[in-house]
Amino acid sequence: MDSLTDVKRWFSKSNAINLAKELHVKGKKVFGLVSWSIPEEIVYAADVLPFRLFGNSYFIEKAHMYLPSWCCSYARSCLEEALNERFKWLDGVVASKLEDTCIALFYLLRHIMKPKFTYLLQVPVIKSEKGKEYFIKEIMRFEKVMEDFIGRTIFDEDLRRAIRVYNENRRLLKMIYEMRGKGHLPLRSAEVLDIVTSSMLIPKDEHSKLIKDLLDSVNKMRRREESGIEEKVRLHISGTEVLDPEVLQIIEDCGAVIVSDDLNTGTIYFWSEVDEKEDPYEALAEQYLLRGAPNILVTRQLSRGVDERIEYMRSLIEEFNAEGVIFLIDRGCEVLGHAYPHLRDNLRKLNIPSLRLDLDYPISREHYVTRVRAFIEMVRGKHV
Amino acid sequence: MSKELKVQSWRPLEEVQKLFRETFQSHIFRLLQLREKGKPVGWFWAGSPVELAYVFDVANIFPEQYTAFCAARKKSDKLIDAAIEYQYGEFTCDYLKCSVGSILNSEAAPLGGHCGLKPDFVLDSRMCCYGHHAMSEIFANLYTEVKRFIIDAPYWTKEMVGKVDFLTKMPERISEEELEFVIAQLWDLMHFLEEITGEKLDEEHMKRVFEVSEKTSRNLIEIANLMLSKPTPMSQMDYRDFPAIGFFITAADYALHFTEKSLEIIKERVKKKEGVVEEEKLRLMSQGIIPWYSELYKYYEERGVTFPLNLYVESTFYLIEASKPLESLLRRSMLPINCDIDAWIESVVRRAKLADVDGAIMFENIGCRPISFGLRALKEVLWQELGIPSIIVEAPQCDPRIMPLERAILKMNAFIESLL
Ligand code: SF4
Ligand code: SF4
Repeated sequence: MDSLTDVKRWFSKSNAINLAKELHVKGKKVFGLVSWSIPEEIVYAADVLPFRLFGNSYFIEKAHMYLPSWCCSYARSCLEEALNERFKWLDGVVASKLEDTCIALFYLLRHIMKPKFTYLLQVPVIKSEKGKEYFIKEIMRFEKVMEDFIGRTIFDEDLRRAIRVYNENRRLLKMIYEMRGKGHLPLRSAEVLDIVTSSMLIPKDEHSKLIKDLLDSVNKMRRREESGIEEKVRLHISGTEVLDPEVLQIIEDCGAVIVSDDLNTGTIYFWSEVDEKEDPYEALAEQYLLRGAPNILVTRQLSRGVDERIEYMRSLIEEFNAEGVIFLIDRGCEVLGHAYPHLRDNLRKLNIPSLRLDLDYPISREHYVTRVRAFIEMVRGKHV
Repeated sequence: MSKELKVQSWRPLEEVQKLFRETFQSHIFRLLQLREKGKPVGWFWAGSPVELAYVFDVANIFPEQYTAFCAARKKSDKLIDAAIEYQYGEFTCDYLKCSVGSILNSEAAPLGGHCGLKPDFVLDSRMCCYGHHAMSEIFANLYTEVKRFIIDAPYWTKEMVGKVDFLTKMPERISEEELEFVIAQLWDLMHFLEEITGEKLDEEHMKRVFEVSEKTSRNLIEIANLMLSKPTPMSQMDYRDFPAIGFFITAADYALHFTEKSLEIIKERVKKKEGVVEEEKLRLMSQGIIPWYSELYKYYEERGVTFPLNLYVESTFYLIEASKPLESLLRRSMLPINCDIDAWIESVVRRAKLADVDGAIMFENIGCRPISFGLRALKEVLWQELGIPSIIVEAPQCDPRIMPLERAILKMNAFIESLL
């Protein structure tokens, strides 16, 4: 990598998509993933590229034929891409059964694209030993169906290697967050978002190489320009699929620095590692069901999911010294439609200020700026 | 309305309505009796193992049924507003908004909010839709003392079940892993119910409960099949009470009584070839949850448009086999919205042929993803495979402000005229 400015190019969504397509042209199979909670290691171990499906929230025309306007923009934009035949090259589509939007999107994609391979993964909603046992069997069934499709066996060693490769990528992404938190990363959060989302699009080993190159370039810089991070209000971002870097840009332009998040397109995707010493199937089930960053859709018996999520948010807020939280809410997101009031109330109990921003496309910059500035002032005022 | 469709004399089944009111009263009476005896209150969702409430003598409250009741009495708007004010998503399902609204604004809630019975436990179910799971979490947040027990079923794919008869919820097969997983959880649930009621499972009593359920369920299935007769024997304004039975109280003696009597009355009508109107002009299929507040069905039935096939009502029925109680409870989760969409569409095509319908009306229940997101694909297939045209009408099931009757009629009239 030549310079830091290349970062934008290498990690941009268009670049990542082109890279995936090039690999496909060279003969690599590529599966589009609808949900974020799929043990991708299995797909990777089969030498198939897991490629998270993303659309572009700004231009929705054809998707209205199938989805009502109150559906989340993530699903509508994915469908729009499919209807514009931009996913036609994919060999398969995989989703998890956790929530209804993803299930519906999965079936609509199947209806429209008619891909050669489809699989709806049964991720249990209960965090329990029984749930885990069932999930191990489900992961194995998924693997078997993959094997039938690719026409070869996936050996334990393939899976172990995939886990190692994924863990390395997780560690590197975490490092990026840690450096950003300390003000040692001369990148805006919009660019960090690109780094995370591109990791969902290109092979993890290649992505890890790119991050290492990036970190090299950063380390070689003898002295970074003053980032001014000390004067900025440090914020944590909460939400589900945030794909639009512009929103993050606006927040940071208002005098904040984003230091952590609990986004499906952020830490929820990569924060904790799969145990490399355990049996790989067991380890994957543990990670994706029990141990990983708390999935708001999955809960322990006789307990509340929101408590776990709040604890996760609180620990990140503490680790990164965030002073407030901004919720980025897609009004069509069913998950946050249910959870938001309780996340807000629990943050209040912890005395952590928060602001809700509804993600309406096209984005009204002025409206956001006014609200974010007022929030930042309020947070600053708290410390005076 | 079009000149061709004149208003005729409309013939609802008043006896069935009366029977339903009595059934409802019997249910309330049961709740009060159980409360007097100090039995726990459980809140249950559609598609979950509700029969167990009768096995363990639990006072059973159904938030969906309660909110449908509020909407039918036009008492839901303040409840919905209370939920939105608290910043629950405006595009969550109406059952959530009404139900939570009745907790947040209890003064506006009819019957003291959920019959005045706060839950001792909520049976959180992922056997039907994500909304139930999320709403249970919300109840556990609002009532911090409540115990929330989760039960999970897979989203049934064709690979797991093959073809499914969506009226009886009988599949070609059930995959081993799933059978084992769900049945094990049903045992856990029964142990939980033993704990919370302080009473051991009485197997004899369970047997009786399931015998009643089986009879009720068979009656409901027969009624659904009779509905396909020509002319359509019953009004949707009567038929819309049946989901309350099919979804929630099949195990109650009073439900069995209701279905036995209703079946007799409907059989009699079919025998006499008597329909809901004198002259049937059009037969339509209906999909989506009934907008409870609306008299849309009545408006069209009076004009000779009848509805022999209501997919939503049929989705609430299933065949209970007393000899296989746990497997029956598992099959409850084979609702169309929790099964492979293509398998369901196939079965709709078969059923639409049997009903010999001219068109379809589909209610897009705003906020309900599992029902609404598949409608347009269904519309496409009905047209391509059977040449059946359909219309989609935006209609949240509990909020009359979104779909006033006049607007819906305006939208539907052009469609109806095109069918004549
Ligand atoms: S979590 Fe929310 S934003 Fe993501 S797919 Fe589901 S509904 Fe859409
Ligand atoms: S209306 Fe839809 S989302 Fe709401 S509870 Fe029923 S199935 Fe679930």
